[in-house]
Amino acid sequence: MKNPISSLIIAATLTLTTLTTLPSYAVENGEELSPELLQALNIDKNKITIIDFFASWCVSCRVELPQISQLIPNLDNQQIDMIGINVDEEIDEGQAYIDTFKPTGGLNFRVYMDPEQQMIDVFEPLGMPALYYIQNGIVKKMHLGAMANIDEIIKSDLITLGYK
Amino acid sequence: MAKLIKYTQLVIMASGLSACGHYQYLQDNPENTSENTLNRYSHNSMAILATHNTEAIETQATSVANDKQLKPNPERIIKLNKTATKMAYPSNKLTSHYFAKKLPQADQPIWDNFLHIFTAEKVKPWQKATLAKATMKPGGLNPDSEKFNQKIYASKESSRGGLGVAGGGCGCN
Repeated sequence: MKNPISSLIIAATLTLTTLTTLPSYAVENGEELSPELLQALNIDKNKITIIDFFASWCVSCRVELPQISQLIPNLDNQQIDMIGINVDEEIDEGQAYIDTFKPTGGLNFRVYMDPEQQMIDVFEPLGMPALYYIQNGIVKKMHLGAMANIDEIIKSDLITLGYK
Repeated sequence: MAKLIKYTQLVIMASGLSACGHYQYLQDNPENTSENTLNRYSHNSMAILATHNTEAIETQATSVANDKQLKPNPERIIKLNKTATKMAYPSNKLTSHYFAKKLPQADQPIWDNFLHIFTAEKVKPWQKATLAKATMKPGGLNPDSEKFNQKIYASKESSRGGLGVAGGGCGCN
């Protein structure tokens, strides 16, 4: 390098880039969620809570959501709580997407809109859709990315988590 | 050399087709010009920035009620204050999030804000809405360009198929 200033700038830039691209860690199995987060999502600790992150642009979500929606009414709502979190950046877009499920019965669970993506920033899933099982405030299990026959998978997971 | 010229011609033709398709798209969707998109994103960024700098963060979170089972208030607003947002992270991971924060915070040292100015962050799986749009395909919205590319591929490789991906660019399995 002929010019020491330019080499210094390059070195500084590389250092800053390395620092800021350090891998951030996602929520993992066995981790306890904060009381504030449980309160924000109105999670009942006595129930097994299923949290599903989805978005309108996620093709796999479109396949899985109707399956989940058909499954939920058949489960005991005294034991199970289902929460959907839409992470579209535009609320209108997310609302329009949810409305597209109305002809097939709609979404049979409560859905939160997270346009600023604060909730999903906490969980940091590695793929979409992201499904989490919360029991006693602890993440018991998760499924990231597309899953075939998600309703059957949820049923078997719930049994392993003590659902009767 | 002749092959190179021919290939260059094909690339120019493909680019022309793509440009025509994009022009047609802009004609059909005048609100999606780059200027408007830029303004929209700038507006959103400023809104988020302003929200993060306030003492209490009010998420624009509403709840969509279901007709059959649970019926929460459709106008429900989730309120998260700054402390709650911080505590939502597992305590042993605060260090990584310290570097991974997206936006400057009012109570952070000025060095933090300096970092955000000079660095780019990776697109996370849930931030791929724009990348999943049809306009982000190499051929744009023009179906002819994709067909054209496939024809060239089949001609050069003597094989076809295996094109496209499953999913919507969401980082799915």
